[in-house]
Amino acid sequence: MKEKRTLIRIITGAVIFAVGMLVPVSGIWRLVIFLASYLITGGDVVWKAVVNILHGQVFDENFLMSLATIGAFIVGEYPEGVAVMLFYQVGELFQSYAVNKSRASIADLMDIRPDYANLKQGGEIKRVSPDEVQVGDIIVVRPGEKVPLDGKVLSGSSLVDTSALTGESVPREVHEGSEILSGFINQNGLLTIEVEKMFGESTVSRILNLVENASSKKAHAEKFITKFARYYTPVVVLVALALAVLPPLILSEAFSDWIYRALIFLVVSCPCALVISIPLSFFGGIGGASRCGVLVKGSNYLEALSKAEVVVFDKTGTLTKGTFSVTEVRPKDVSAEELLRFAALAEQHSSHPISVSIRKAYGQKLDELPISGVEEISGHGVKAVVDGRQVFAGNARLMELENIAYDRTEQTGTVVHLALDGRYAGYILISDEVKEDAEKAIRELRKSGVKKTVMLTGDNRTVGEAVAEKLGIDEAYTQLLPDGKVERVEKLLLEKSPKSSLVFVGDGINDAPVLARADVGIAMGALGSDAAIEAADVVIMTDEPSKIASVMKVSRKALRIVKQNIVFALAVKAAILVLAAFGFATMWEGVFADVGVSVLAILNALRAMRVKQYQ
Amino acid sequence: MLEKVIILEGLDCANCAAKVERAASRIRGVDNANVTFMTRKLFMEVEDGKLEQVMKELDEVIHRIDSTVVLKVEK
Repeated sequence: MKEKRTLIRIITGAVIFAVGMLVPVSGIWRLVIFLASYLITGGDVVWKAVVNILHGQVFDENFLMSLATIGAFIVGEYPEGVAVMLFYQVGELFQSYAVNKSRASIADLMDIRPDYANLKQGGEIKRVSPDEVQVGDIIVVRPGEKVPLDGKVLSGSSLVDTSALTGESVPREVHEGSEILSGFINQNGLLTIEVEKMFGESTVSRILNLVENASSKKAHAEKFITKFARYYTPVVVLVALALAVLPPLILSEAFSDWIYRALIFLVVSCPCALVISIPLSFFGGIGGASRCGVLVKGSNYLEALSKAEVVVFDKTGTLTKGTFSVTEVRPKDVSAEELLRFAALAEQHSSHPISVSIRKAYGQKLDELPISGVEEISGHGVKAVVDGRQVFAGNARLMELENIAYDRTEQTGTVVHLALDGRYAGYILISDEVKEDAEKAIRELRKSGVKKTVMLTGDNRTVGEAVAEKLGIDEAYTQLLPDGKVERVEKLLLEKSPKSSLVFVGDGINDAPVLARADVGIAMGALGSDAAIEAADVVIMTDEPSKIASVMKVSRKALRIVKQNIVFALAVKAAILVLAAFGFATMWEGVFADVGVSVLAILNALRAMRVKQYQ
Repeated sequence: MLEKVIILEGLDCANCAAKVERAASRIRGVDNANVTFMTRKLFMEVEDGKLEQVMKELDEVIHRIDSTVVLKVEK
């Protein structure tokens, strides 16, 4: 509404201005026409300047613009006076439009706040505010509705869209017994959910809180600009004053020419372009990152990410899945499926993680199958009769114990050898699986300028080094205890070049001290883990390490824009000031250095939000 | 120490945001004042027992900088 009124005033003023320029009137009528145009467009600026002076605020932009334009009128340059005010107002309008638009687009992005919950009470369904729902209450979520609170699915199955939280476009399947988080959107089935967390504790509230308070930690670039702005304006105004008074007195020239030059200085004295475009760029960058499913808790972290030289990974849960699974089946004289079947049957009563993963890999029902004589041989494996055949399944020592020739293997992970009726039948390799995109993550990080990648793990050397080599990681430190990880990160911090930063990536659960020690601590797979969200500076909602490279690219883009804007704005302003001082610039160039630069810098800043290519 | 978040409604000049931040941090009893222009929020820590006095002064200094801003306490 306010913007619309300003726009109408600007247009009216501009029309009168055009009349003044085109109709050949002179004398008092010319002044009247331009003065009318001036007051319609800029009356409020002059008024604000007067009010603020009464409050003791002198060097604010209202005052400077009023002074410059009124000065132009006094030296007889009516059109310039009006034009400066007109463009200033257009610039202000554009600025508030751009800022509002980017605020709104972040709000849209985070349009995950549920408005209501369907509470089920004694057979009836009532629509209530999510705040009113208690832990243990039953809620119903229909297709197309947002899940309002965290809980567990009691009945129903459906596909849920998690993209608002994870940036993941593939919907997730949920069914009876699944954990479900607020912020998901139910796509097709009716879900009945038992609430497990109050609204304030639910995922959606925590994330909104985090995003809304994100930019409270400022980057160096931002602090520099506010400091610069503090001195820039008074200095330029003082120079303008000197320019208006000293040369005419010393050189005994006419005042009007030098006053005109001083007025150009006043027009250029506003640091608006920088002051607005820098936070706008950072804000856009943080918004863009959250569009990729990465929450950055402040513009200082975005800045630090862009300077990352060393990236340190925790292995388990970050680069690897942290769950054991069969990664290789190497049969001998039998089929791979047979080998798995015999192993699965022989190990069917064991709850050891290795046995569980073999059964999972076999993937078929095991009951009603002929098996007898099951006997665990502690520390070695198991023996059983399956389908009338004698099976031994276990480690190398079991094979040696039974005098069975077996293939020695250098594979990392746990190896289960199998023998059928005393003959070797091959082995099954079980290891912690490397995540699908881990290799790509390392490659992309290197491409985006990271000089060193390091892996830390509590695992033994063979396993750790094999993973590091497979992924192309530069350094691996194995068999570390938690405090060993902190020590190692401290050493790496000393080794890196001073202006760069060190990033640590972990699962956020066991590595809080390391997360705190690094310049930027990133927690992965944090969706649903409150502790991780609290502890980290940057939170990756999904399990994908490749998002680290994505957010790094987003941060580099934002910082590039910040630098472009600083250099561009300062260079143009400095050039126009010098030209004006020597009488080569008019007020029109002054307006460009002020409003033009502002508009261009803002347009550039808005690019920071566009991150499609990194998603 | 009490953490306070104040919404500065109508704050639409980035330079004023910087001025508000400076003015707020000069108030006695305020620590770590921080204004984010994009979200129009002022974060600060207020010493125990000084909240009322701080809010009064804050209201005054902010209106001196920009008379159109309305203060709303978020928490």
